[in-house]
Amino acid sequence: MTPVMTEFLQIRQISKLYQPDKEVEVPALDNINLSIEKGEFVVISGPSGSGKTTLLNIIGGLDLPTEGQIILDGKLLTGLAERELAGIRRDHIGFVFQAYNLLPVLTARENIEYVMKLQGRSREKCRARSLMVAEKLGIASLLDKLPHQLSGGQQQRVAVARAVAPTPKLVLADEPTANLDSKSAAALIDMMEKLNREEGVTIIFSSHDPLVIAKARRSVVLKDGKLVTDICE
Amino acid sequence: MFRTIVKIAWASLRRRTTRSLMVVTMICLSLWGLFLMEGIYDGMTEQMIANAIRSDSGHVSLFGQGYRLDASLDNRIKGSDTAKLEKFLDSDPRISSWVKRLKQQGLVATAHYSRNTVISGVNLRREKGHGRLEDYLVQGEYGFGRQAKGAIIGFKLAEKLKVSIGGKIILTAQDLHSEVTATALRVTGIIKTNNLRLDETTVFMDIAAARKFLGVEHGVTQVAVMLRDNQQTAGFQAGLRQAFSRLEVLRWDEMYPALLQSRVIMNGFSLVVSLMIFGIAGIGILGVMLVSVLERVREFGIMLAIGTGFGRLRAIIMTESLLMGVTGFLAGAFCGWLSLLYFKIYGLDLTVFSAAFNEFGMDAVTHAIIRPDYFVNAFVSIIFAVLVSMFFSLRILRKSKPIEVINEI
Amino acid sequence: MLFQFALRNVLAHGKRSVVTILLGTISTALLVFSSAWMDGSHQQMIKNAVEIYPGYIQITGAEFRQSPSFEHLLFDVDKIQAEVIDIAGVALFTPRFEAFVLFSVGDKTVGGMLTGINPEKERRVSRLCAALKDGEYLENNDNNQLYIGNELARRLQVKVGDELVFIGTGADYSFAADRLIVKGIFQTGLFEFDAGSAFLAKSYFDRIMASKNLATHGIVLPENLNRSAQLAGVIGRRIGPKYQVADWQQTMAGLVKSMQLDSCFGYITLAIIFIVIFFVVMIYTLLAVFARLKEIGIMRAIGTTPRQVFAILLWESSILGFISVWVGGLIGAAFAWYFCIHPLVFSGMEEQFKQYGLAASAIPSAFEPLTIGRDMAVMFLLLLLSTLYPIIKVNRYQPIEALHHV
Repeated sequence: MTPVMTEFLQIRQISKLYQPDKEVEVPALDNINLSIEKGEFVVISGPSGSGKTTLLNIIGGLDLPTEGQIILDGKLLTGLAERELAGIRRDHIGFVFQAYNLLPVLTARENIEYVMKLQGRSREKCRARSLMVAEKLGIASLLDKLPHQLSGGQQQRVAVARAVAPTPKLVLADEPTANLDSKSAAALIDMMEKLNREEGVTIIFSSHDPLVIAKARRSVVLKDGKLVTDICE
Repeated sequence: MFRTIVKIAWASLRRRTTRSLMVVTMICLSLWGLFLMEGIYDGMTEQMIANAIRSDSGHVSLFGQGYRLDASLDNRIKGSDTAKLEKFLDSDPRISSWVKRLKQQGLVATAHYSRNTVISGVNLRREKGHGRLEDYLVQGEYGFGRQAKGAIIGFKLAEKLKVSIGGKIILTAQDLHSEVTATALRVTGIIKTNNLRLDETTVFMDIAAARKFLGVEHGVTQVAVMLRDNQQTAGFQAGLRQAFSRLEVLRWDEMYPALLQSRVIMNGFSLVVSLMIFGIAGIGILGVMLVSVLERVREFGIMLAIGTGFGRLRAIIMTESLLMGVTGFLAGAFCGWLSLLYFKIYGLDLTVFSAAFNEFGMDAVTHAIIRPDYFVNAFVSIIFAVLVSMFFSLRILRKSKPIEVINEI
Repeated sequence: MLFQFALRNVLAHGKRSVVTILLGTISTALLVFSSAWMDGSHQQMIKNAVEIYPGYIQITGAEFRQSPSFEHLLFDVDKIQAEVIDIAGVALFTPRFEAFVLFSVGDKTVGGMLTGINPEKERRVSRLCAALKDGEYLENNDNNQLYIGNELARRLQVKVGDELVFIGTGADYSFAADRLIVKGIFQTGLFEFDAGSAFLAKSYFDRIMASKNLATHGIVLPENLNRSAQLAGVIGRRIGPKYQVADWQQTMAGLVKSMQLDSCFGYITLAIIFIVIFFVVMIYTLLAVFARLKEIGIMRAIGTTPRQVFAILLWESSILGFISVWVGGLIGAAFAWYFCIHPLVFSGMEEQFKQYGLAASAIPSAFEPLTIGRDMAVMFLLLLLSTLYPIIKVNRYQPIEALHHV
């Protein structure tokens, strides 16, 4: 199936100012414009403090921009109430965090199924889907383990599975490989790329690791909150 | 050095404002409640005791030998002893006042009712200065009329006899010679002392009229003594016993053991309640201290790594917990003291329950008592609770090896 | 799904759960037992006071309570008895005739109440028989044999078998006097009563006091003691306005009020303890919830709505509260039940009890499932309420703040 190329995600004139004190203003993002097509595999890179995380958080509705708009699949996210945002995150956006952030009391399978259950899918459907995604990520044998029984690479694969399993429109991954050794990091990115291809899910991730950045098909570079390069392969 | 410690401690309390405020509020409210409870319950018991002392027993009462077992006029304090006793009582500086009473059991009757009664011949003027008997008057006047033909009776007795001011009552009793004799009096006053025994049974009449009625020329059945300082009661009693071996000398608590028992029970009750409160509050403080130490293990590890001594950490934690404990205590003590002061001056008015209070023999308006030991005990307990929770927190801190923790991610 | 997740959290955070459950359990057990104890002692006091002599339901002439003269007697006791005993729910009716007389021995004279009773029926409506201290209780066909209070006997200095004289006024206003022999001495523990009462079999009493078919009042024993008030109403309507029917709550209004007052103080004291428990549970919940703030941030970030987070946390409190309330309730109930069957005996506290009108020094607790259930429900709500603030507070965090909270 060839992905239909439409303007799927529009980031319009996004700026973000942090105000840690009354007198001080720190610009984190400065007038970012970006549009991403459905099914893309995009990396956002740049030195630390360049605004990667802030941008991802704003796209995902976790953070509010000072100015600008986010439009996802024709729907304006900016200005929505927290409850609506939570619904959008649940149904349309998957998150992968740098620190894995699995729910510690749930097993790998339960972590993967958590969002699907929130969506109200049946037990059987959750089971089938979680198993399918886990097999693609090579963690099918670890499904009954608790997070603390898994290695970092394994945990991050569970986290990716959790993000992808509910079939979101968009997966956002903030430095998913930062805590992994280079081998695991490369493997994780390969798997994410495979999911992107096979499931057609749009993935945006951030990284400052050149080996990882090289695997993306489109690379966006931020510096001091400004977009400096945007290269498609 | 000290300032740095306080600064760090204050900053860490500020960082967890909600939590610190909760602990302070908890201590404050629990102490406030506790102080109120202690002050008011003590006020109630002490008022009951005071009523018994004022209306009947004094701090110490003297009776003739055998009178307590057989309350007959034969066992009164004889005339010869009375004179000696009066001289003694007038000269002892520890005494603030004393009164003589001539009592006899008998019968009081109206047209329809009759009840057992204790006829008590008294000198109203002296009783006024002694136990402020006049303050207990609820109806009528404080006097026996010009011809001493009046009677002041307890309000419960009046209720039972269905007699009011001006009503006629007939007293029947045996006189000194065992002859049954009777006299008619008019009710001039009704008193409510909340000394149950007195309110239910006593008819006060003029002591001279009583002497005539009962045929007793000399001697009395009871001498009640009020002391300037109630702490001296036991010593005073011992002295009197030595001086008047032929008389029975009883303290108020020997005459009203139930009241003493109330006080003991109340104190025990307060102790149990305060132990529970401090125990539970201690658990609260412990939880907070433990968590605030545990979540800062890294921070402490860094401080240790850059050369801070463990003693300094201990001082910081101690200052933090003491700050919370003392603030809570001060707030609670202030609120408690203020409300007790209010109830001490204006009284806690529970007149709604007056029927019940009458049944108990208690005043419907309670004036709270404020004792310094409420505050001292609470302070010591809070400090103790704080120190114990600090001790545990420090042990846990040592066990968690803070320096090693900083090397972990 | 939310419930299961909450359950997992409760199980995973063992220490917090144990402390919270422990606090809740102790509080519930304390509340359940304290109220069982208060209710029990109050019921016992009232039961005592009622059963020693006054009885559950009293019938008098309409005016008798206002002016208890011989003009306001029950004049046809047999007819009243026949009517009353016919009413459903009445177990027994017995008449009494009280007269104030002077007792005299040698040169001692003491006034007191001489009452004619039906000894066999009296056994069932009052504790007179059980209060026997010395000698024997009366029988229906006894003659001039007297059952006298120990304090009155002491004042008259008489023992069982001794003789005394009484002087009084008969129901026909005639002069009445007789020689009596002490058959038994009783002690109820109520000082005033023991110091002023003596009893004769009514059959004999009627002969010397001219009181046949007359009574100052009648006592009705209801089959169900808890329905005294209703039964009194029924009796009142049946026998008409010539008579007054009062149940114990009317005849002993002061005592009933004083018990309420005592409960009131009891609950105030408990409330002070519960304020502290409330805060400790709140603090522990706050600590627990904030220790998991990051986790909550993750939940929120991956699409859990604030309402769902609220539900999960509330479920956790409910599970903890539910367990504590049941464990504590059962412990408290077990104690209440045990002390209901084995009343606590306070020896050496008679003085105190007499002041409360309590003759016996054994106090049982009340075992009433309804009250226990009420206390458990109250405690459950209190526990939930104490966790509400921390839960609301944690829910106010934006997901991003929560994620980065340290």
